[in-house]
Amino acid sequence: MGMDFSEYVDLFIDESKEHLQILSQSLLDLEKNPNNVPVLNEVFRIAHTVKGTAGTMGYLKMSRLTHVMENVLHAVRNNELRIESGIVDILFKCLDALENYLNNIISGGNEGDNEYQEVRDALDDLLKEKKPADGQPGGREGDEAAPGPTECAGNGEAMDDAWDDKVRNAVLSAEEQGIINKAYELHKNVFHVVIRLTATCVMKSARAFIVFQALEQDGEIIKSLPSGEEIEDEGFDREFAAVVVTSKGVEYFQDEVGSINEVENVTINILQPKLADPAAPGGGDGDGGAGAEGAGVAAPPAGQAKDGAGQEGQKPKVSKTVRVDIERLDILMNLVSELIIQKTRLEGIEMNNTTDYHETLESLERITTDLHDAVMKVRMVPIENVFNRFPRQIRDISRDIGKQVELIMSGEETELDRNVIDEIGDPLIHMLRNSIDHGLEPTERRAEVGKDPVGRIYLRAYQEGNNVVIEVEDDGQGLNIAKIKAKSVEKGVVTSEAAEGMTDREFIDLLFKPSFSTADKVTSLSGRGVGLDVVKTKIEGLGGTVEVETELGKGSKFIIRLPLTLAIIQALLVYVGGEKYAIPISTISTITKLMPGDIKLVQNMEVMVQRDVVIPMIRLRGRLDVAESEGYAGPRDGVLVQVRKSDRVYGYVVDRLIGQQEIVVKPLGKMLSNIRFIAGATILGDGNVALILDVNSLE
Amino acid sequence: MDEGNAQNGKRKYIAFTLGIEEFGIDIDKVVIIEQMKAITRVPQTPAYITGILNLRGDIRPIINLRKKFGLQDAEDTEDTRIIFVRVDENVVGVVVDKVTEVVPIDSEMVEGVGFNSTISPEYISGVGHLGGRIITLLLVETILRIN
Repeated sequence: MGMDFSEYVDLFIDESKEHLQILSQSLLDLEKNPNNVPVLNEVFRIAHTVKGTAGTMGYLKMSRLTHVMENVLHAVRNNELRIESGIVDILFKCLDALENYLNNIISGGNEGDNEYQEVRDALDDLLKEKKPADGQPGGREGDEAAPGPTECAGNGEAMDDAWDDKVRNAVLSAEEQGIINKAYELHKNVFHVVIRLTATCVMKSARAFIVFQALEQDGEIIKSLPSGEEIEDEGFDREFAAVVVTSKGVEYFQDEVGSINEVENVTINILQPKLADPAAPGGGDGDGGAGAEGAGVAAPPAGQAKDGAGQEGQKPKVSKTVRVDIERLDILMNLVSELIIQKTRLEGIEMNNTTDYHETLESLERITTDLHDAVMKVRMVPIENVFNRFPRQIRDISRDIGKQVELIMSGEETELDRNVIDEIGDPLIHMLRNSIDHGLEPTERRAEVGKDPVGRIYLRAYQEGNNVVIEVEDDGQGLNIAKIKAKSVEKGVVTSEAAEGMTDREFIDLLFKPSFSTADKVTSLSGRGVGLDVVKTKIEGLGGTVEVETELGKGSKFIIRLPLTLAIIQALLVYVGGEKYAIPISTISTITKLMPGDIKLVQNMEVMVQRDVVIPMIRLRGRLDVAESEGYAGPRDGVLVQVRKSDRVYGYVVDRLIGQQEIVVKPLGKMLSNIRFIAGATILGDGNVALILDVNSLE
Repeated sequence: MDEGNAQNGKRKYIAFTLGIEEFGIDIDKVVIIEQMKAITRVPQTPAYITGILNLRGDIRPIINLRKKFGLQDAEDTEDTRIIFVRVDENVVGVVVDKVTEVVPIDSEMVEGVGFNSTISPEYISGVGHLGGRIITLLLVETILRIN
């Protein structure tokens, strides 16, 4: 078909990202519990869906790889292969390959040249090992015909026995069966309506919506298969179904639904009352769990129960990465209409009616504050978007290091500004690595000290006032201050005399110095010189802080505090000559009055010596080329603002302080994007603009 | 592209003065014309960039055309205006002595760049004749290019 799919590429990318994320999670679950049938089905469903969509989009390598994956998974489902670590490893390799394909598509528009032959060979080898089980339904689609773009259009059979079993066999909960029984008492019909869409149907969820609307005209839908959420996300192949209570007959629905565009055929089963469990039809050997509560079927393995990973695999989570909750937009709309009402009111106020005037002004103030909040919320993204790639990474890391690790995450729904979200991933994974590598004892050692051999890493996020706190905690050995002390002296970070007088806290701070590593042996992960100092710099660059709490033998906790948003910051406003500048509060260490004699000349540079530390002085008036005395009559060089960048301190000499206030950071625009010393601008209360100093370049 | 402007072979221009010379900017490029406001100087920028100002919540750079064209500096007056022009996604304000009017100029009355102008030919798209007036038509794109 001569259709141009380019406009669907974005959609494909978004969808595939979600699919691969779910695949990653599901594979982890499968590894922990190989007999979890719903998870296996999920993996199969994703492989199948990706095969179809990739094929449709013309990404043939992706499609071919998922095709072989599907064959292997099919064999597993038919008990011809057993899930063991080897298989999961290969499936993980497939996942990596698929991710690479997807990244290529994102960056270059095509999937690249790599066929991942070794991965496909490994899959093929698995297929050779399979023992023939009853019948051989797996073979029919077999190894011939590499699926082309038409493949998914041409057939949906592979799906029939897989996912669609779920659709075709309505597994009902006791409650649902109760409703059906009730309906019969009321002399109504209960139909299980299975709808099959044509292969060319592109917007399946929209089509399903239309079908549901038609069904609801003369009936009540008590259940949809898959769930409404999954249908919305196109989490089905070509078939979906609904259980409908109605007073109409079979023919009515046949005609009504059958006449909808792109509906290929409609199958209607009549559901009977009273038949609860035993009636759950044949195919649902394990699927039954998905329909019912699911708890009894897949018993979570011991020790895993807490993070609930077992259940999660069954229900794909919807990521809201780039989408804005419509509710939030509605709130914005409402606020804007209120704003318009107040504006109209303001226009109608008599000149001398001050009461009305002030009232309106107050409402305006309230509305603008709300508006501000609402707009900020639109920018907020759940931290889940970063967290959800960690389980897989932790798995790989723990294998590399040879430690057993359980990652327990909480607070994934905590929201952060999109800019922060984009930046926080790398520092976090580094800290997690650090905790596994340095924090947790080796497995044998844990047994010796009577700890569970499986080390626990907790990753928590929560909001605290205007900050979001992220904690990385391990139940390992805790920081050994004596060891840090010995190491820092040995490395010459501090002299042995200085070390004597240092507090524990000061030693802990040394961890964040460049190239400080306490690991006895250097691993490929941490201890490469890229250490916690990089993490700290990054976090501070985001306006945040890092703290450590530790107890010897019990574990350590790294606490990251981040501002909710980068777009609004606390800043100190200062006068330099007649000009106003803003300095981010997060960079300021101290503010002092500048005394004559504070400044000394060392090698022709102005410095200040404070507690044996030499602080370079920067006179902003000169550095920023501020014109003399233009509209400014206050004191000159009155105040010293000390700013800290990573571990160095600089003194900015300014004329006068104005005060601290919350400012909205605005970019300078493309034309002025590369101006030194300036990080952005902000609009002050009087409508004028003040520049925000860039502490990083102003030295 | 600019069908909106071209009518019967005529294009509309915002005409303004710098000193004694009259200039024109294609009206399609003009976003808004504002009175002079407080402009915040930005350090480390070329002299012809006066600074930035707040245009309805957005920060916009302001160019001093006199400096850009190498003309003599002049004090701001009541007539001084900032013409905000858009090139691609960028909106930039240019400071002019006085905005005179919107003039339609017949494309047949526009001649190529001569050497009689006081400003560099790279900034000029043509010279329009309207009655007895000579209006230098500016090429906004090159004026906004930062170098």
